[in-house]
Amino acid sequence: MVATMLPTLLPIFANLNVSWHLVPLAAMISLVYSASRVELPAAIIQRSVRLFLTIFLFMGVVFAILWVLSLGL
Amino acid sequence: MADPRVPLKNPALAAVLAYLFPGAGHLYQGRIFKAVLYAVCIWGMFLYGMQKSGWSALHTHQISGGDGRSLRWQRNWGFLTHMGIGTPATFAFLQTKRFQSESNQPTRQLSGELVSDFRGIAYDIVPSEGLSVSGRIRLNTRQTEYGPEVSGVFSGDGLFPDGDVKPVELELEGGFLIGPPCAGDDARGLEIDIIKSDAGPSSGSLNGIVPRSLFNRVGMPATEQQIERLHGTQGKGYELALVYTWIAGLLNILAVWDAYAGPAYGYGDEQPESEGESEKETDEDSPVPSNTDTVNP
Repeated sequence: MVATMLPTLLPIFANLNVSWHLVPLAAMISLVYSASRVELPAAIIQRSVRLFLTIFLFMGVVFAILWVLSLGL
Repeated sequence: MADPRVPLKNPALAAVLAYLFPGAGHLYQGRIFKAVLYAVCIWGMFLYGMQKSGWSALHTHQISGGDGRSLRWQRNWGFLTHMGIGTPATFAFLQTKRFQSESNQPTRQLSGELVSDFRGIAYDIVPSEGLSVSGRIRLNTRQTEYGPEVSGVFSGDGLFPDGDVKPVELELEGGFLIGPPCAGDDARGLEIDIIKSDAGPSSGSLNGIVPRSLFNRVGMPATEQQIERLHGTQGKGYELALVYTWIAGLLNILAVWDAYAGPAYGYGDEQPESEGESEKETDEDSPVPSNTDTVNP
């Protein structure tokens, strides 16, 4: 099972270091965007966590779609 | 209209400060949390992207050609996003001016002593082929009967054809040429004649590169070869570095607007609108005490 999946998974791991850069990127965008919407620190953090999760969910869905589409290639 | 609890002070001044230096406008307004947040996030992203791109992401133009006469200038559209942060954008404009100045040319003279790391090829040390060398070079101008002449020494290691790395000491004089002081590349070409090597008198030449200082390369127009090399060595990492700097510039526009007009949605402690309305309805349903109800003892 693992042996059959390995050739598919290896390219993902090879690019993992680059993809990981998207995590702080999404976090910074969430923080700055939320800070420009409200003033209270607690509200900023709360909104930014929610936005961060939304962005991540969106990226995850896009990633999953692209991954499925690339299976036959 | 901004919430009155947000201390905007002089909004125009705060916006200018926030534009020039992310975080400074909010610091001036006394909004410390936001000042730290903007400074850390925006500067952090921008500087990380710059470092990851080999300090090459910031440039107003990309140039190709390279023979010094027929340079083709192409606008770097990504720079439009960098204009969201005032200090680096202004710095890049000034660096382009420095790059275009008449003094920024390859030269055969040295204005002072040059002491630097050097790597390159020493020709005529080993017959018929060059010797790869790296080490330190020390050059200065001295007066000769033919006028000022650049001379000095190179000392370092050489990689000999048999694979041995041995110390090399070269005496250098004449035939000096060095690349322009300012350019996007991290290295500056240098060539000079060799008059004496460990083996004795020589008539060879030393060709190679000396590193260029950060001040003389950051924000300078990037060459086509430089960009291609970065793509080759860093691949997607270079693209990602550019994205970091672009997004930092764009996010600072939000920070500038926040410094000027306050937060877009309010203070952050407002009740959701639906709750507010239901409260209003509740107030209307409840009997309002009239003045006549008030009974004075």
